[in-house]
Amino acid sequence: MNSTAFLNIENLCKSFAHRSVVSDFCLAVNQGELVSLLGPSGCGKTTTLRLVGGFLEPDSGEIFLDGIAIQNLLPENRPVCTVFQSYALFPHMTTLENVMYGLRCSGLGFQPSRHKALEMLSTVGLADQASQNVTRLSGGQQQRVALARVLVLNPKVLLLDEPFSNMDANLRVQMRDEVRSLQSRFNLTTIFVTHDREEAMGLSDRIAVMQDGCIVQFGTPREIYTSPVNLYVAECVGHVNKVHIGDRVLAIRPEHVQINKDRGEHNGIVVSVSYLGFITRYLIDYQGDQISVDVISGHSPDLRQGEQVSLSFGSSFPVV
Amino acid sequence: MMSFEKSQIRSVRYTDLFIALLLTLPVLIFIVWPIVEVIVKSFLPEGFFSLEIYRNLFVHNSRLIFDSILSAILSTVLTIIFALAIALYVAFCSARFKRSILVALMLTMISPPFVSSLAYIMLFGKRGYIVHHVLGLTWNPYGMHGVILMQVLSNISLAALLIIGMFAMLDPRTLEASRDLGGKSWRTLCSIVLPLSMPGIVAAGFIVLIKCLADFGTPIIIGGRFTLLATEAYLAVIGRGNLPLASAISVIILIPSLMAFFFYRHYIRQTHGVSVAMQKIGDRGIEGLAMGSWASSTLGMLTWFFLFLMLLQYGAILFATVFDYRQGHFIFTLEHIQAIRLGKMASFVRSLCYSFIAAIGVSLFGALLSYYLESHKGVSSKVVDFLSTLPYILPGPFFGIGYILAFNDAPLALTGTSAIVVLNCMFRQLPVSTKATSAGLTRIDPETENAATDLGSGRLRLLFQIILPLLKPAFLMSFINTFTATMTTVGAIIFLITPQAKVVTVELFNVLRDGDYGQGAVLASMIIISTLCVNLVFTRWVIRRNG
Repeated sequence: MNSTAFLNIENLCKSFAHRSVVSDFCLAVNQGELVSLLGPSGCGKTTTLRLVGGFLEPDSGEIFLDGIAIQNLLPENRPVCTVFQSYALFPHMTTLENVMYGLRCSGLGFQPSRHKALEMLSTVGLADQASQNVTRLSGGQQQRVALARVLVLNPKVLLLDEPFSNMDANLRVQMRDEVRSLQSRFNLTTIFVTHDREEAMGLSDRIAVMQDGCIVQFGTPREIYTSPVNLYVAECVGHVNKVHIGDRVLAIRPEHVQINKDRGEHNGIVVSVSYLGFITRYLIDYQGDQISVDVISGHSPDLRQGEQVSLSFGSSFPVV
Repeated sequence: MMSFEKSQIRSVRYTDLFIALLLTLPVLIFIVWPIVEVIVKSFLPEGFFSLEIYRNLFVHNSRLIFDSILSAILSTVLTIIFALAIALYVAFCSARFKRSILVALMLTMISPPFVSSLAYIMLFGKRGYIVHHVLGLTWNPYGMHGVILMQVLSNISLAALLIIGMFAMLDPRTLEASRDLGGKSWRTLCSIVLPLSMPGIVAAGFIVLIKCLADFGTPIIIGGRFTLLATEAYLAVIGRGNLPLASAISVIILIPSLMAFFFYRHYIRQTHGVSVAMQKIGDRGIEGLAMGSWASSTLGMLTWFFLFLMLLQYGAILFATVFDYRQGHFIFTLEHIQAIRLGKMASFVRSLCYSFIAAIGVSLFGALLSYYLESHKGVSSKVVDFLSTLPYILPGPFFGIGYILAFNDAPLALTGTSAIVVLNCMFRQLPVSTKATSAGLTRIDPETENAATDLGSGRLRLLFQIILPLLKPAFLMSFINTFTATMTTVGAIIFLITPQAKVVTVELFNVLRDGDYGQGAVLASMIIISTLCVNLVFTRWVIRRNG
């Protein structure tokens, strides 16, 4: 247990109809840190987030925020705010009214609320959309409203529930950067739920990889990528090849395999070549194992389908 | 080759035109023509243009118009207040209560006309059991207050179910967001739930308002000397054969209905974005919003009080089928049942037949029409779509009088036949049928249709093998609705039946008017039980088919 952590989740359990969804979940998050919960759908990450947000009641376990137990507080009384996957903006209100809503709830007067809300809107670059109905905003703008709406309340913890899943690729990258810069600017302790490895890697201070309702590994993106505790974690943050060498099975990332026309320890046959822009991906048949190999396109050897190649394996880890 | 293709295309066009005519002609004949006839008759009472009838109505009967509008508005407002309270209570209460309340509301919605009035007179009337015997009071239940009370009681279930349906469509995330931002339950309710449900609440209000305006029977049974426009229209036809006057009154009743209708359409268009946003996720509604104990117990009391009244009402009616209250004692008797068996059984069987035929007919026609309109988007389709929804807002008497006027002589002399009654019931329920089907159609992935055509199935085969099976739930819904409506309606068909071929609701109305409450109780029970059985059987079917 890390008693100095800002947000401390201890032994959280939740089951639905006798099916355990979150089991014995422990996590300690430092102040100002952005932690991702990463895992495939059904691993319990959204349920965990809803437990922290107060939308679900845990069967057992405790959540300490700044030393105070909050697991029994209603959502309206928790200093924790959520940005929902669908944004859940109030469709019958303007942008400004959406951002003012929480301030008004806290008992702040109309004029001060309006002033603070406008300020926050210019921070997220939406000052000119203040009196626009939120349903008329674009996806990126709606997301900014959802962020502004919670940031203006200065919550102790920010929860993000797959906030980029409804966006196209370009907008996704742009919003990711914006969220990160707002998060560090306000020094917000943040939990971010995603199934997208790239998002988790690019955004997080630390990643908690989840499986069957608990954390399998918790560490910085580099730690998780380079020294995963098992194959599941390794596959969560990137592609891995499973290679049979003798009676052992090794897991090797595609960029850790080198291919040459003739120099190398092992022989394989090119099955296919895909040019993906920055990298070129080769699919190699090695003694019945299909191995993907990524090479930066400028440095890629000129290989054709069916050609014999030599392989050498770089850093790898054994598969249990 | 070329010419062959051309002729094939042309033949497709002719088939299309033929189908279009086949589907739009009935709408024109059985909906538009009667409406036009009523309006024409009111302005050309003797064959030439005259505003005499309207002048008379407004000058000499302004009190009648005022009373009608006032009582309808009061009934509507009270109904909506109660319905809202029940809907909120249902949203907040535990799942177990929720289920039972929903079932109770649905059961009480399947009710023949005037059951409230019947029970009210038996329990709270001048010689009513509770008022006279238990409380020892003498009071006058008849008058405007009685009419409003009855209209409120008989419309609450429907309005509450409509509003509950609206709540269920709310995006639960929006409500969570409100709480997340610090909104307490009451604030969430007032700033988020109610504004977002407004279209549904307005819709419910508009439906109740039209029903109250068109209600001519309640004032006859319980109004005493208090009378309303719809009642005057009824008396003008049945008592005096004055069709021009009845037409003019019908047109006047139609005006507020039309206004409500256009207001509603306008409002819905404005808030379209809202409803779409809400339909995206919404499945759980406002469940889980905790409410203060004071508020929840107030709402709970109102809800349980209403359900208690309903229990009392149905209990009293069932009880009165075999018990008579004479000289301070209840006496067991089979007299009323005997009387029905001798005289009115044929009407009951006739009602069942009419209801079955109308329900099957309109469900088929509505499905075909709706499919055609969905696949032919255009101005003419929009017009037909609008025309086919008109019966929904037409007051019952209006639609009945229209049928008398339109089908009295050649070319279509239907007066006095069973066909006119069945057709009237069919086309009156057409809007529900087409809406159910088009809701079902929008749920069908257009890709499914494309896939079927792609695999080489012809249009008709596509319709019968792909589309119709997928529409089975909508079809059954429409069937249940029309069957129930026809079994319990009186508004339009009372003008169309002949003394030799009555239907059961008209028999019920007549015995109540004559004060024979025992027989009324038997007839009402028969309608309730038979309609309930059909509903249960077919709802089961829908549920089972939907897995």
